[in-house]
Amino acid sequence: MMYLTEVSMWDIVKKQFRFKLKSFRGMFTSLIVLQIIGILLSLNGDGSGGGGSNYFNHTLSYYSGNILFGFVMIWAFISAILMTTRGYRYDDYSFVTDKMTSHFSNILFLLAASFISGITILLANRVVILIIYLFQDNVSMTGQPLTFKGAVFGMIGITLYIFLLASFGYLAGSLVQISKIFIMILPVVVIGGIFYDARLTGNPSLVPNVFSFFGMEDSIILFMLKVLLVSGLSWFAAILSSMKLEVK
Amino acid sequence: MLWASIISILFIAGILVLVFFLAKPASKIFLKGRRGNWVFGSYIAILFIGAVLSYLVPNNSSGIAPLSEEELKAEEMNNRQFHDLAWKGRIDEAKGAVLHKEWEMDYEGKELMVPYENGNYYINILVEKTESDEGTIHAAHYTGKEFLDNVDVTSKLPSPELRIVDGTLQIIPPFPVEVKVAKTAFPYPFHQFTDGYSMFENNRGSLYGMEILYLRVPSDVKVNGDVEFVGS
Repeated sequence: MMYLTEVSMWDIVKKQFRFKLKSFRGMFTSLIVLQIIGILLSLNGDGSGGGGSNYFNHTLSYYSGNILFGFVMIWAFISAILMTTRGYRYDDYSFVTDKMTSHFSNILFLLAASFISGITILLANRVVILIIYLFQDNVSMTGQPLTFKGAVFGMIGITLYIFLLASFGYLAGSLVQISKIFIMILPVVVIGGIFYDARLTGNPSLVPNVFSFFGMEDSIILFMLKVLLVSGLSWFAAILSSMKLEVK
Repeated sequence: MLWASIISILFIAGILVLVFFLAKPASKIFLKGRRGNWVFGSYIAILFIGAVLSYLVPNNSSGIAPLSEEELKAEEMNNRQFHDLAWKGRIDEAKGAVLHKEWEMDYEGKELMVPYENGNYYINILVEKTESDEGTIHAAHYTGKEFLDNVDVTSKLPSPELRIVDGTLQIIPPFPVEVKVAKTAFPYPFHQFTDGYSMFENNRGSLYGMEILYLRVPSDVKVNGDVEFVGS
């Protein structure tokens, strides 16, 4: 009966997900190392300004955790690529599995990893603030409080940003699994596209458009839809490409 | 600029290569089995404790609450009024004038020389001629209010030292003062869906106050130098 099969597929996805939380431990090790580096780089502030008159100088430094956020997005991208490599893929075959269950458990794992790493960004940013307060003289701290709505939407937003990058990474990794030629093609297309856009038109719009498509969206619902749509397409393409791999 | 960008990109790429190439073999050697969970758990615990402690840090440790936008606009008006009233000789009426230091200096001469500047220290000098206080020059150091990211830092402005030597008013620059304000925020997504928040344009009110050395000089003393006379 179909019903029985569907239940067992979900069971396998769940089991694989739990297994992946344990077996992809190395990813969290790289997260720790990258975040420690991110914390050190954040000590200078994400941005600063200042001014002065005569014998009175003032500096204003921002500590918003955006460096940490950037590092974690890169981490998610690279980690997702690594997940598609042989060493990781063959881990799945310790279970009775097929490609679909493997992909679904990967989606679940990357979503969970995005959420966990999002929380670590918040905590690490507060650690940076604590270090600044403890080790800098004559510094006044000012900060805007976060509303409950801001906190909930922010957590959803940061998780989805990380997940989006992970989805791109997963697609890139899957394409490379089809043919190593994508190692050359993907950077050429992405970096070349950016330069082509900037050089040819003299008025670069590709990168600003991509950034504003997500970054300037102030409705959380539309943002979720955009991220789910784009990452959904990435997963769909990644799954299709892995089917091709199966045929091969 | 281009080289700096390239070097930063290479630096970050180098870090990434190191981290990702070493993470897997390193975790296989050092983080076998449960030890890996312990390391990650301890890391989260340390971050958590640090984060909790960070909330004990006084927000705005100068003890002065940041102003609202309206309050800051009012302060800006006061600073303008300070400028206008000071030049009219009505500095005592100016709400925006903050008195930092005063001096009473005995002076019997009939002429006072005020130097244009001392090194790179320059301050507006206003002179008010007064009929009372014969034989005494009264000096006061005033500033407008200074705000850095809406935080009042006026009290931290240093005052110069004054003395009269051989008919010349000597203005001795203060020791330089540096004030640091650390503006803490949450990562970008935490503000993206909040109305009216723009992360990088959010340098809220920074207001620079004017500095004035206000001299009340007996009317029979002639003042020479780079000074302006109030009411003139």
